[in-house]
Amino acid sequence: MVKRKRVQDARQRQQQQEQNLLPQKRHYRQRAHANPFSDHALEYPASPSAMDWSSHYPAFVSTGKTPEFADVGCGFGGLLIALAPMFPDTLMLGMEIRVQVSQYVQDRIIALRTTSAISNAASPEPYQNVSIVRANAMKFMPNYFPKHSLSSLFFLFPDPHFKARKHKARIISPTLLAEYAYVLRPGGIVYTITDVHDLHEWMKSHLAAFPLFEPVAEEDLRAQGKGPIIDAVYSSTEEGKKVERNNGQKWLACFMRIEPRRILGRLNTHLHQE
Amino acid sequence: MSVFPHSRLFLGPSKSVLISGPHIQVLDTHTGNLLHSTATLDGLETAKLLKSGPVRCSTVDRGFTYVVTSGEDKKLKVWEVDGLKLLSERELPKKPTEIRVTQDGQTIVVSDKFGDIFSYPLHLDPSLERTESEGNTGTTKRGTLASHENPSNGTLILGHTSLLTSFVLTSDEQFVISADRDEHVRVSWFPQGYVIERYCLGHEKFVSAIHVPSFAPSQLVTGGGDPVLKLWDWMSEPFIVVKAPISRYGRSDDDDGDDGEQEKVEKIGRRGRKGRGKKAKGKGKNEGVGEEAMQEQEQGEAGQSMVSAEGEGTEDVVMGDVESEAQVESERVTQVQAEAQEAEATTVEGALGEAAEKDKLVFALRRIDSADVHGQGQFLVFSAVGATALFFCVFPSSPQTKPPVVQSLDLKKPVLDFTVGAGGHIWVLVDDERPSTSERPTGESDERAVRLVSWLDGKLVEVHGAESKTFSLLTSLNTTCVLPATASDLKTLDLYSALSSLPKNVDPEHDPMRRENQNQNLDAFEIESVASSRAGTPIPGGSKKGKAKSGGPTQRELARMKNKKAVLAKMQEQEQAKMKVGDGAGAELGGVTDEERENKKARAADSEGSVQAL
Repeated sequence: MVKRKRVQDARQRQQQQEQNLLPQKRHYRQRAHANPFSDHALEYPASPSAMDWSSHYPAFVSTGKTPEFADVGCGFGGLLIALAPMFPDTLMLGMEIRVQVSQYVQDRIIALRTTSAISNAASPEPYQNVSIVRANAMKFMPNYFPKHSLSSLFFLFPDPHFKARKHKARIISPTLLAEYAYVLRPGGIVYTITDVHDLHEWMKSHLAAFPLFEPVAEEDLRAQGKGPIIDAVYSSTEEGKKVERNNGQKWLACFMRIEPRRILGRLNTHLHQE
Repeated sequence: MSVFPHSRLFLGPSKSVLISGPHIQVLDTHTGNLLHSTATLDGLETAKLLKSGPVRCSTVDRGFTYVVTSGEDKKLKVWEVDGLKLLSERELPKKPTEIRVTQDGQTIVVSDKFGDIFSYPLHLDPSLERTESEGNTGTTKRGTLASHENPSNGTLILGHTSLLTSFVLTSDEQFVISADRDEHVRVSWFPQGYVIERYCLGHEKFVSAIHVPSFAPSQLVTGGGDPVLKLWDWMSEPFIVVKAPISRYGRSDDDDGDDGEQEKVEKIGRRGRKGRGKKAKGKGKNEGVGEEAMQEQEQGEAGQSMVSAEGEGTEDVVMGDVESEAQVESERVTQVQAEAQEAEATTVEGALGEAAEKDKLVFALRRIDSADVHGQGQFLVFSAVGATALFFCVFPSSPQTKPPVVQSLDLKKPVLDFTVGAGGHIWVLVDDERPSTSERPTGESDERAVRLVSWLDGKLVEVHGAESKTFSLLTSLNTTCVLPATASDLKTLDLYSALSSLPKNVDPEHDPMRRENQNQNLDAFEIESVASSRAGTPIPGGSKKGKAKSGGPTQRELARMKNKKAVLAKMQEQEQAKMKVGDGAGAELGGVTDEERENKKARAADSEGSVQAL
């Protein structure tokens, strides 16, 4: 009896210790909104070939790999932390414009890499495949990712920008979709989820109207084996958990990137919504 | 008497169109006769025209049948060249930056300051306009899902998330190449602008001029705030073929020229800071200060003409100027990639780079064009906002090891624009209104707003005197086409605004994202040193969130530091454990992980520094 208690205590202490190493959100509080059109003092690579991934993924330096998953507006990193162990050979990157929040994710990743480190060389070390950049994804996506390099793009609970005059700041827009289609490879998937129905309709209709994206149903994705990703999209983020706590509803909309067809001749009007 | 400087000249085979301030004039190319002019319209028409303000963007179709203009009022006007009859007037969603007409003359393509490119049919069908406009007015209705509404039913071609400075349609009109203020050059399909073919990335400052030479349609020349021109092969894998660094050049005299300039800069700089404080008073005030600065310069060195533009909220005053450097070539170092690889080519800008730091020179290319001169070769010609020279260099026909030397022809007055005409002649429009700093007898040769420049032995030379008189168009441009302007007219012209509006004024201290954290942020190094000195000492009781300006780091910062130190300690602990365990394969693994630990530690320290310093 005494021994079991001692072991339990030891384990609790170990967990406590690990908990202590993880950064606390209350030290990284920041206002939720950031104007994506402003010229923030951001650092970004002049081009994808100028981007040094070795500082982000030191364990993968020799592979020459570049990120395949990108979480646009990753917030406190919930999705990436959930996906990282599922796809240990896939590099994933979070993009977050807010200083404090991106710092939090960075600290969290470092802490996780340290506390989860195992001495077994057979499997890749956990959380080595996930990293974050403080970046303005609306402006500089093409600076980070070469053409057709991503296989998944995530837009989880984006800022709804409720007012009509702010609609142009929404992360999904007819002009930005071209950039997302550029970095995403044909067959790649865009995952969107939100608890704001108006925003869900907005994103769904814009993506559906965009010639390079085609809607794909959740069941089909699950059948393809992407179920764990979808589950993570639903519930692994802070925002997602908050929606659950408040008994809100979540709407998922997924789209696949398809090949364009060159239409010669007259100008088309399919981009113009009426 | 003040006159409107000519801002744009379109040379056609039989007719030419001249834009001066708010007015459009049509001349006969051969005789120089003034055929039509908006200045001779009746009172009501003229009033309407003047209300639109100076013409900011303009273009003509290939057949010189229509001229399309837009002023300050976001109205797109289509005129018939013959008679200057206004055919239509449409409202644009945002202020335009570039207007082009497709080769078939049926479609107008307009880029705007928001970053969008829209296309409009050139011929407006009035019945169509009326019925459709009912459904799509300028105001947003609840339920409309379009975030890029267009009051004139323009078709959205593509959009950048940044001010779109310029665009070109390729010769086959299958692609549109667009450039923005965030250093992007994007090649997209046309008219399906939503398909991005590729990006040509590499510029470090805004891109303001792009050009596809007619004799090399697969090449693209770009320029902007960087003191280099980049040449790309935009059709295949984008690679930089050549970078031609733009040399500083100017007078050969003055040893104290440089010092004199420095002095002036300092004076201007001080004024600039003052101007910044009064930002609230608006541009008018700034412009006033700018002019004062100008007058100061006039007292300065002879033989240097400068334009100073003061930007809102910018600490640095910005000058476009031109100075000579004898050792330009030796200081220039470049690399050229011959193969299709997006390799990094480093350019040492030499004198210009250094000087740019010291003198806070803002460089903004206005226009790039090319000339295929019979018997002399192919050249690139370009002008910069506020610069008094026309620059030129040989067009590199094949990737060479040495980029071409950029030369210049100083015209003593700021070059507003230029047009490459037939036979290799270049018509240069200069700003005659800018006071010259030199003492010069006001002869005819200096008062002309339009200069003619020609090629001689691969160099640009000005065409003077008797020879120029044979160009009756030139005479006409400089005499009969000159329109009077009041001082306030000239002020609203604001011809050099690009120098202040295009560069990104990002000072980490003024980063909007950091402003809210200013109370709680400390320099990373400060934190390190503070933390180390305070290690072991209790957190000072008085410091709370938001009081970091005086006293030590905030509770938040200390808490973060504590956490980081704990993580680092854990890392070191693991490292030591590994080292104890490891020998043989274990040691190798330990070695690898040691490296990783080092990287992580370094990254932890660096990232803290880098993210905090943002």
